[in-house]
Amino acid sequence: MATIEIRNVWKEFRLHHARARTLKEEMVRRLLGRSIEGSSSFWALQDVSFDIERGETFGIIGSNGSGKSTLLKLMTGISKPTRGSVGVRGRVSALLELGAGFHPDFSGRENTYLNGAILGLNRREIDRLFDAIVSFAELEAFIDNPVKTYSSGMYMRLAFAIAIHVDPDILVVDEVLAVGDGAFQQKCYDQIHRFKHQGKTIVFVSHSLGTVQELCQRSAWLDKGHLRALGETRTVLDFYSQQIAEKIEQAKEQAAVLVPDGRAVLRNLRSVDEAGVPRDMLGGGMMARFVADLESGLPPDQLTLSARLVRADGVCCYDQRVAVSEFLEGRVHGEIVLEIPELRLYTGTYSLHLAVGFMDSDQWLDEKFFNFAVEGLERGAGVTRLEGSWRQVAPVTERVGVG
Amino acid sequence: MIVTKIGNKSSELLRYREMFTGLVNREVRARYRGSALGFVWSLLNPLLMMAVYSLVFSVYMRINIPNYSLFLFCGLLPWQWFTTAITNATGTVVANGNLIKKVYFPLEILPLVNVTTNLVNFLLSMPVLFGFMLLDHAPFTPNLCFLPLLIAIQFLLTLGISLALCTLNAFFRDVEQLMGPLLMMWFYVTPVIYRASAIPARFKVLFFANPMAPLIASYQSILFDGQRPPLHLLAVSGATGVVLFVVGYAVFYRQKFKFAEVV
Repeated sequence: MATIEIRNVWKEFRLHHARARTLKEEMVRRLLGRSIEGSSSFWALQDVSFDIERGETFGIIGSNGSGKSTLLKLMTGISKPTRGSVGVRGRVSALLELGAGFHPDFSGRENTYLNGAILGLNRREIDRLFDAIVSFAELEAFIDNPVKTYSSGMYMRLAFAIAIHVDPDILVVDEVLAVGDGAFQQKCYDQIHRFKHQGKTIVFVSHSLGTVQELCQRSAWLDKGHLRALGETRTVLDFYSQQIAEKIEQAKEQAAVLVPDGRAVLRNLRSVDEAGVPRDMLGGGMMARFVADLESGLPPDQLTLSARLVRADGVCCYDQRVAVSEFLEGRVHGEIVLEIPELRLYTGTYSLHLAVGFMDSDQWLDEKFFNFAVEGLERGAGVTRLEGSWRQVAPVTERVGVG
Repeated sequence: MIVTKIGNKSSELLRYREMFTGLVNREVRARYRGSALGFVWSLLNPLLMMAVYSLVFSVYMRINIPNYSLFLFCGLLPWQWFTTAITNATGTVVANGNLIKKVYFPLEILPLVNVTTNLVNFLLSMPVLFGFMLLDHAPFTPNLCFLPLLIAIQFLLTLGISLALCTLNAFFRDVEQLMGPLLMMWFYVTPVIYRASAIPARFKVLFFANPMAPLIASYQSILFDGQRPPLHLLAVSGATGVVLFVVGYAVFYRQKFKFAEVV
C-alpha cells in the first residue's frame, strides 16, 4: 500500500478570494445574482494522480506557479482538494515554513519548545532532542538569549535544526535547503541522507535538477497544474530538459532563420569548472565558464555569436551578441570560452542557447543548447541579484530652501 | 461514523496539547514581558472602568446599590474576559495567516488558545477581587462553589461565539470593525453596571435573549450577595452555551479548510 496516494486531484482557486471581501461587496454580489461567480477562478492542479511508496525519496520539479506548493499543501493537510482524494499514511513533517510561531521576545530555548510543539512534538520528545537541536544549529552559547538578538542566519539555523529533528514518517522538503553557509547546507543534506537510510519517505521539491537527480529515485514534473511526466528521475529530467529546450526555441525571435549548411558549426557546448572538468550544477554568484568548439571556413569578421541565458519558465535573463572578430583572429577553428565572473542568477534551472550566424543578417548557421542548474543564491523576486547598497549623501536638515 | 470522526478529532487535539499549552503560555507571558508594570496593566482597565463608573453611577446618578464599586467589579471582571476574548478571537485566524498557510495543525487550537488565555488573565485577577471582597466585608458563602460552573458555561459560550466570528472574519474582514460598537451595545444591555431587577418588565426579553445576562447576574449573586444563583436562568445560559458552541463549531468546521486560501 502506498504511503501517499494522490487520485485524480483537482484544485480550484477563486481569485476573488485572493483578497478579503467586505460584507457590502458580498451583499451587492448576492443581489446581482451569482452570475459573476466563477468568472475568475483557475485550476492550480488538474487531474493529478500518482503514488509515493513507503521509504521512497520522490522528487517534484516544475517552474514557479506549476502547482508544486499547492500539491505539498494537500499532502500536509493544510488544504483540501476540490475534486479527487489525497491519502496519507503516517506522520508528515513539512519543511515549508521555518520558525513557525517564533516570538522575538522569547529565548531560543522557549521558542524551540513552542516551535517543536507546533510541529507536533511533545515536551518529552523535545527534551530528548534539545541538545541535538542546539548543537546542530551551533547556538550553544546563545540559546537562552531572546531570538530578536539573533542574526538572520542564527534564526534560520535554529528554525531549520528544529524542523529537521522532528522525527516524521514522511518528510516534505520545499526548497528550504538554501539556508546558511555551505557547511550548514552540507549538514542539512547529510541529515536528509540519514532520513533516507532510515527508510523514511521523503518528498523533495527543488529547482536544482542536480539535487533531485542525486536524492530521488522517482520524480514527477508538474507544469501549469498538469502532471507532465512521472517515473524514474533520469527519464523525467531528460524529458524536462528537452521540453525546456523546445520552449526556449519557441521563445526565439521570429525573424531568426536557421540555415545549418555547414559553413559554421558549433559543437560540444558545456560548462567546466576551473580545473576544466565538465559540470551542470553552477554556483549562484560564482564564476561560470561555458565552452564550445567553433569551426568555420568564413573569416571572423563576417561572423557573430549570440549567447542567451533562459530560465526554465522561458524568461530571458541575458542576451548578448558579439562579433567573433572581437576575440578571435585568423582561422575560426577551436575552443571558444564565455566567462561570466559572477553568475548572479537565483536557484533554478536554466538553459544557455548559443548560436553562430552572419554579422549583418538574421540568418543563423548553427546553434546549441546547454541545460544547467544554478544553486546557492536564495530565491528572490526578479531575475538576478544586483549588489545595490544605500548610503546617505547629506543630512536632510542641511537641504535648506528645497521645495 | 460520526463517533469515529469525533474520536479522531479529539485524539488529534490531544496530540497537539503541547502546542495549545505552549501558545497559551506564550500569549499570557508575552503580555507581561518587557513592561515594568506587567500584570498590573491587565487589571488597570477594569480598575479604571470601575473608578469612572462608580463616580458616574454612584455619585452623580445615585444608583441605590451599597458598595457599588465592589458590585461593579464582580460583573466587570467576567465581562472583561468575555469582551477581550471575543475581540481578539475575531481576528485570530487572519492574524495567524502565516502559520495556517504553512503548517498543518488542528485549527481549532487558535480560538481555543485565545479564550483560554483570557480565562487565565481572569483567574489571575481573582485574588484582587477577593481582596476587595474582604475589604468590603462581602459575604463568603458556600455559594462560591458555583464559580467553576459559571466559568465553564462562560467558556463554552465564548468559545462558540469565537469560532463563528473568526470564521466569518476570515471571509469578511469588516466583521472585526463591527465588533467594537456591537460589544459596547452588548455591554449596556447586560446587567453589569445595574442590577437585573432594574430592567422594566417589558424589556425583560432583552435580558432573556442575552446569554451573558443571567451569567453576569449569577456572578453578582454568588460574589456580591452571597446568594445562590438563579438556577433556572443559569440552565438557560448553559443550554444556550451548548447550542452556540455546536453552531459555532459547525460553521468553523465547514469552512476551516478554506482558511489557508483566504487569509
